[in-house]
Amino acid sequence: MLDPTLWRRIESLLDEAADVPASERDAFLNTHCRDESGALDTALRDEVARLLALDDEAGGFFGDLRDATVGADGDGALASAVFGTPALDDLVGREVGRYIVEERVGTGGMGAVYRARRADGTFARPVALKVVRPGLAADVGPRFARERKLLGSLDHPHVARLLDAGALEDGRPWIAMEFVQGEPITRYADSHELSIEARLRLFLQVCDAVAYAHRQLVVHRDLKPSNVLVATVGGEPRAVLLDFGIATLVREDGAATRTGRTLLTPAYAAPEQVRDEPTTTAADVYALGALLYELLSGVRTVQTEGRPSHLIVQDVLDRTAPPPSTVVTAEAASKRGGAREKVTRRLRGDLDRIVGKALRKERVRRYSSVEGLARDVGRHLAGRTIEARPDTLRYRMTTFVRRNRTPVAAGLIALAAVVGGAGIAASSARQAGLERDRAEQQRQRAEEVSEFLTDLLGEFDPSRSGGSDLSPDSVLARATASVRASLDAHPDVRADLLASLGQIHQSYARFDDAQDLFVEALDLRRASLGDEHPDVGTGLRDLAWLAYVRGDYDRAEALYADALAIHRHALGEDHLDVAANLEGLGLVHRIRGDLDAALNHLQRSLVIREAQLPPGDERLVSNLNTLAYVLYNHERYDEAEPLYQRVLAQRRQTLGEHVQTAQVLNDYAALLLSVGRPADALALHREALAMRERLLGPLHPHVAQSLSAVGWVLQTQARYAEAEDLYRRALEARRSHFGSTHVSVANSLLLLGEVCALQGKTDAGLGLIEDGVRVMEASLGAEHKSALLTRLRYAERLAEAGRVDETRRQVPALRRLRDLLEAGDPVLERIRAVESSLDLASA
Amino acid sequence: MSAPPPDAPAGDVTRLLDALRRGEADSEALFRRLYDELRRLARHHRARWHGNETLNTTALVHEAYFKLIGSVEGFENRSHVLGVASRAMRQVLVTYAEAQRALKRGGGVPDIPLDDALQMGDPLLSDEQAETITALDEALVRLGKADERAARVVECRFFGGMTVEETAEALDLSVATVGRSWRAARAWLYGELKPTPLLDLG
Repeated sequence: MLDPTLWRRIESLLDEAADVPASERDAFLNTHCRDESGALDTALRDEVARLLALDDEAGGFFGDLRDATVGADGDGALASAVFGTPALDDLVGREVGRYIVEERVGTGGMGAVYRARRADGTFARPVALKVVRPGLAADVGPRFARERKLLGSLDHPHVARLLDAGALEDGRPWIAMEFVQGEPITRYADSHELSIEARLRLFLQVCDAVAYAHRQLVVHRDLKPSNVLVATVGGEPRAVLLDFGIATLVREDGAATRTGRTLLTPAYAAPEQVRDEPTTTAADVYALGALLYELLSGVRTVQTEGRPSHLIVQDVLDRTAPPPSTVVTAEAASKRGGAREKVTRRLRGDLDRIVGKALRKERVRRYSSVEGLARDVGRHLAGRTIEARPDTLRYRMTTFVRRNRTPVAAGLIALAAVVGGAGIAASSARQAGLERDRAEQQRQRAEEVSEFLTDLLGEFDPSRSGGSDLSPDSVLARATASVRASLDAHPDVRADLLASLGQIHQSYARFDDAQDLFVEALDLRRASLGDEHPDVGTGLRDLAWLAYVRGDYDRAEALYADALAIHRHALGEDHLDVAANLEGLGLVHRIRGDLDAALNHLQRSLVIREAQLPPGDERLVSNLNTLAYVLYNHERYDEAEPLYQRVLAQRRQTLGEHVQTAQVLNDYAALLLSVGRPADALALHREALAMRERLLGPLHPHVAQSLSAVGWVLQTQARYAEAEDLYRRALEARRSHFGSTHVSVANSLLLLGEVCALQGKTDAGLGLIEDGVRVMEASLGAEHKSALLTRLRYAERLAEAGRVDETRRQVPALRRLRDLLEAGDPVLERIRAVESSLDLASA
Repeated sequence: MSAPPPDAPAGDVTRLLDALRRGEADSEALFRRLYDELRRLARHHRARWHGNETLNTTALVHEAYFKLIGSVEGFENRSHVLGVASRAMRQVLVTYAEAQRALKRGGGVPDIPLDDALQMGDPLLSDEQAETITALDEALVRLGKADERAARVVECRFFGGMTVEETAEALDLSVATVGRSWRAARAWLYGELKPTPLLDLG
């Protein structure tokens, strides 16, 4: 690209032209830029002209190594960029105020820090002398003066003390601070391999210092590991906070002053700081959350290294950091005194939640004060329950519901949880004296909910209700009426409670009531929160699950898809709500017979959940369970069985006698039967049946399922009469709950019909089977594979019974079934068998 | 191998300089030695400042550089040593930059304070510095292909912080030639680097 011979000429011409007055340069170049023949060499001329234009700027741009060292007046941009922040060696050995500067110990964003000593020798201890670097003096001068004033007012064992302040001859301000020996907190904790407990106790020292500063109306605003130095004092780690450099006074009216953006540290800056909005103590809460996150997990909340700043800013504003427990590496764990699994387990739950609450993007959702954050850390250390509950009321309720066997009691505990949460939020908001309106609002909400709950609990107290009807029906009806009649001012709380009651109704298989409550809750949420709010998605999911349970799969799929879209948009791809919707869709696909799609959806939801949930978490176990079920349906028994064993063990351990435990017993039993272990299967099915009857009463669909299952195992062992009895009870239960058009009802009819036929009651049997086929078609559509398979069974029974004409009428459906089957499917043989029976009959 | 005392220029550098003067060692050996010495000094300074506001790596390297060249004060072929040290300086920085870029392949410009960059992830350089150094080095390689002399001048002036006179002595050129070469090289490099958004520092 560069021509060596041309370059020599360029050098000379450039050097000469630079001395020519600007007005004569064109003429000079046109005269001198000639080739051997004397013709104008335009390429040469243009290149020299180009370099000439760059020459002036180039000098300033370069600077050299010495420029970078002494803080040259020229730009020296390249030197600065290459050699780093201009340093200030010039003060070493000089006297500044009462101090003699001994050594430069560092440079920060604002300037240089020196170690110095009292010149008169009265105090042997060194001080840290901080001087603004020249380029910034004009910018941060006033801020520096503020720091001086602020720090002077702070006196706390964990805050570096301001000793003195003044100005150099050139006007640059300096301050002398307590010289703090130590390492940044994160590095100290790692190099001393502090356990999680020790890290938390150290963190509490930091909280204590920041809370103290807040009480003095000082916000730090630049909390980060390098501003929190830790040294071992008397055998214990002691943290000291440095650099209230960009802190500004919070005025008494609560409004905050603004600060420039240049000195932000994105990994610890709160979203409102990045947006350059007024910052309050909430920004320090956020930064402490980021600090704790890193201290616990070894990872920063925001990845800053090697990334363009706009992406970093985007992350600070929009991306919720994954829970600390999910990002711990084996290496980080080894510095926290344990294997990765152990540390991960240790962080899960409370600590994930505490950090999450401190790091909320919206500051009103964070801890309302540093004290609040410290209190939760302290409560956690003391083994007490923390105030930072899971993010949503919904999660809170379902957690409580899961732990309780009788749905009504669970509902009440869930209500109590809601009230407790609101009350705590209100009290901590009051305590902070900030966000007055919101605190007032929350207080009102808490009181209102509290009153409501007191009334409601009163109704359940037998001594007060005078021994009135305490059946579930009555209790639910009254609870529902109470919710509807109160909480006018709090549509979101009312919606949560209504949905909760809907779930209780649904668990009692009172689907119409559940549907009404879910719809009511959804409408309330849409009206109060907007169509795109995650709670709206959750409401849609309630309805989807109900539709699924009722057998309306088209509706279930549509609702799940809507919920999925809302949750993805609002919460991101990896959110647990997204996983729940994927799981729902997987269930719909499964029951429709699209097993590949089912497997796909369930595996995606499992990936999200395994990454974020502890092994015993209900959602994770249930996902595993469903996946096992689909694998079972795929006849992948070897893969399914270990999953079932895992799920069953988990269920027995965490739930004991529970509807979910019964379900696993049932499903695992089905697998055992498929692999030829009927005795094992029968034992598990019977255990499930007994459990379900005790928990749910005799007519519940789950009981019906167990009745059918036990019947089926008996049937395979030729115990037809016993089987028939069980099938009849199952059919009765299913009709009473699902109405007459439901796949389950169809299945009961088929089973019953077949077992009748097996006992020689042919007419009765065939009639029942035909009923079953119709119900199946009405439920799934006549062309559904399951419906067509049902027809095949019917045709087989007809053929066996020698009903040639009726068998022949099934042939078109059998052909359509054949079109759905792949080559080699054993069902093809069954179809052929039916057809050949017809051939024989007509021959 | 026991480490030499950190702050004093290593005794074997002095011995090497003696050998060089007696014609018993060549510039290449000196370059290797100075290169190693720069890195060692930089590492040492870094360890010493560990735990407080910390200088970034290149600042440490150039502090090390000044300690090193301070030790050859009064040497009779001091300028020659400085010339070699400048080359070592460039090479040390390029090595750090390459290491950093290898760590952060496909990176951009983080706007975190430099001291933080060093303390948190313990990277060798800020990405911005790594990019800048690499861009400069690449441009300098291109320039050197057309004119080795110009590239050497830039090394001495920029990386070594040498004066025009020192550079002339070290490279055995006239002061006027160094001035001419420096001006053209500077302008050309500026033209090469200017479009790089990394250097849009103003």
